[in-house]
Amino acid sequence: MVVSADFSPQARLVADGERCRIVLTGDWKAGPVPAARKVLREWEGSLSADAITVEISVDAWDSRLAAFLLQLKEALAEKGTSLNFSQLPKNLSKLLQLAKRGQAKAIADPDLDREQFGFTSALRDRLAFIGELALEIGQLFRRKLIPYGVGYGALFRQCGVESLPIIALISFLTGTILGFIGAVQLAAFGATIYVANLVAIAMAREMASIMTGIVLTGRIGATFSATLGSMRTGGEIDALATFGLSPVAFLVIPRVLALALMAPLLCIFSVFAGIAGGMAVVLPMFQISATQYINQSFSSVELGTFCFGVGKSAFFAILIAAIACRSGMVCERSAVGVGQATTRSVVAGITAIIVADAIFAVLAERLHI
Amino acid sequence: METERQVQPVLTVTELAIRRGNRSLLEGVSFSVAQGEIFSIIGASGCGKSSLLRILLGLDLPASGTVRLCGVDPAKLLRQGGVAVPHSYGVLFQEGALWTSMSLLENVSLPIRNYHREFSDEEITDLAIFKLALVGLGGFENFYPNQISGGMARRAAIARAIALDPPVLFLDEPSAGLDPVTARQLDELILQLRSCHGTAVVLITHDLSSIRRISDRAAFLDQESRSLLEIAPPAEMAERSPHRPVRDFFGDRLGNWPKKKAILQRVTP
Repeated sequence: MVVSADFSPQARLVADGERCRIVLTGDWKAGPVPAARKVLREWEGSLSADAITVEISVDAWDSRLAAFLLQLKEALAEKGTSLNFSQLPKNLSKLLQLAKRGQAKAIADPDLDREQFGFTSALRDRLAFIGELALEIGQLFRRKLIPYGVGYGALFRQCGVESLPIIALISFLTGTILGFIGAVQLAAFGATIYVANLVAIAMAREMASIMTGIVLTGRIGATFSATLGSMRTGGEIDALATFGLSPVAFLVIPRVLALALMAPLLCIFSVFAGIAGGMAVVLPMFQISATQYINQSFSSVELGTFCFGVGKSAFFAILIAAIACRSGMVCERSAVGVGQATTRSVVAGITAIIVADAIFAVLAERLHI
Repeated sequence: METERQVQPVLTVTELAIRRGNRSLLEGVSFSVAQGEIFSIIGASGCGKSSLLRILLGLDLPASGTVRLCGVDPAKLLRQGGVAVPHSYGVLFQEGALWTSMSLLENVSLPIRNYHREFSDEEITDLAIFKLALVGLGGFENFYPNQISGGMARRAAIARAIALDPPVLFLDEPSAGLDPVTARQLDELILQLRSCHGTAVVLITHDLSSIRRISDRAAFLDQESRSLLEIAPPAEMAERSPHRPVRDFFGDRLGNWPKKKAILQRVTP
């Protein structure tokens, strides 16, 4: 259906002598309604009167007409011109009056707390959280006061056993990838047996802890921050606080503990899964027996290297849990806030792991570990 | 209903000012709540009731002024890094805010267990079951918060709030979103708790019938003047308050909004 131009909503400015009128014509229900400010710009210069009467001879209208008039009135008021609505149909002028009355006073402008965007205050908040965490851990050892009613079993199962399958898969495939790279390169030198060294050392020293960390960030960190975020939104964290129970002691410490205890175990498991992955590549490709491969793997990894990797994973776990819990506990009290907190915890968690690992690599090099 | 009680106040608020960012929410709020009194804090949405509550509970700091809750200043505790005044109050948050990962029994027994370390497990469980039975939830001990209705969750949260027999009970919109019958049962429960324990109740609500039914006095917070406009028994407020916003709040008129007939006309252009 083509709407004839004659019926499209139009606003014309009619000037007869001293007086000005705005005449609205057309079908204000169907066609595209002109924007008030745009119309006003077109009339710039021809607006001579202080008061303008609005006349309406439209075929049909809906709330867009009222919105147009309200916009027009506001824009004209800025220029010192008033709009006279006395000629409007009764129901339309009632509608406009109602809208005018309904306009809330500007007491509720959403002024954002500027300070929370400041770098220094952000840093201070994070340091404060780390301090609180350290204090609570200190309390834990001093008073031997382990918060009751946290559901440690569920936490340990969630962090540990339930993470096993995905860790196994990821680590096995990481071992496979390393095995392939090593096999292709080392075959050129005829040093195929050393693929075992490559895979074992890479897994034990770096890949197992990093892969465990990344999987735990995605799996557990996201869960932690979403859980704590919705607890905050639902007032559960406030409810803890009002009983004098420290949210950090009750919610953060158990999670940090669970993850820090489970991650090293997962990391050890990951090393073996990675070695198995490498073996799955090497055995069919070269004339190497499984015993040979396993012997070569185990003899290449020193205890120090192994402990270094496993220790790193515990450190990463503390980082992940602390970041995830913090972002959950400070999240905005809304569904969107919980989502943002989860995203933030995963992004920050992975970044923190990689950065920490780089620092560890430099330190290890300096300290000859 | 007595306006003044010759009892030591359990909660005293003096010249409290609340700001959010740079915006002032309330200024110069002063009132006190006596032991065993049911005190309502009322006012339009957005007038600062919930912000006031958070300050009374010691969850937020006031811009200025002092609060004394059972002889302790919650703001001072908060500044020192403490979170709350143990034993001195119980809170029913909006929607209950039960700990969703725990059963009702665990919800009620957690505060008891953490404050009365000398109690045996059986004692704690018995006490928690008793508290749940008080609010009419006997037999629901092993249910989880997501398995019960909104009204039951509200009652369970009251059981948790009274777990430590606090002298003051804060209730934040206890009847919001509940049907009239359940809301009345809650009111009844609040009255009974008051008469059994002598608990002072600070009630934050919009529910007119509940305000009239149970509160001894009410404080009206006004958004326009950002102040505590009036403290009086609700019946008195409804009938002869000198303040227009208070009368509007209690009255069934729609202030200066158009009459019903005009609204009907408007919908047919």
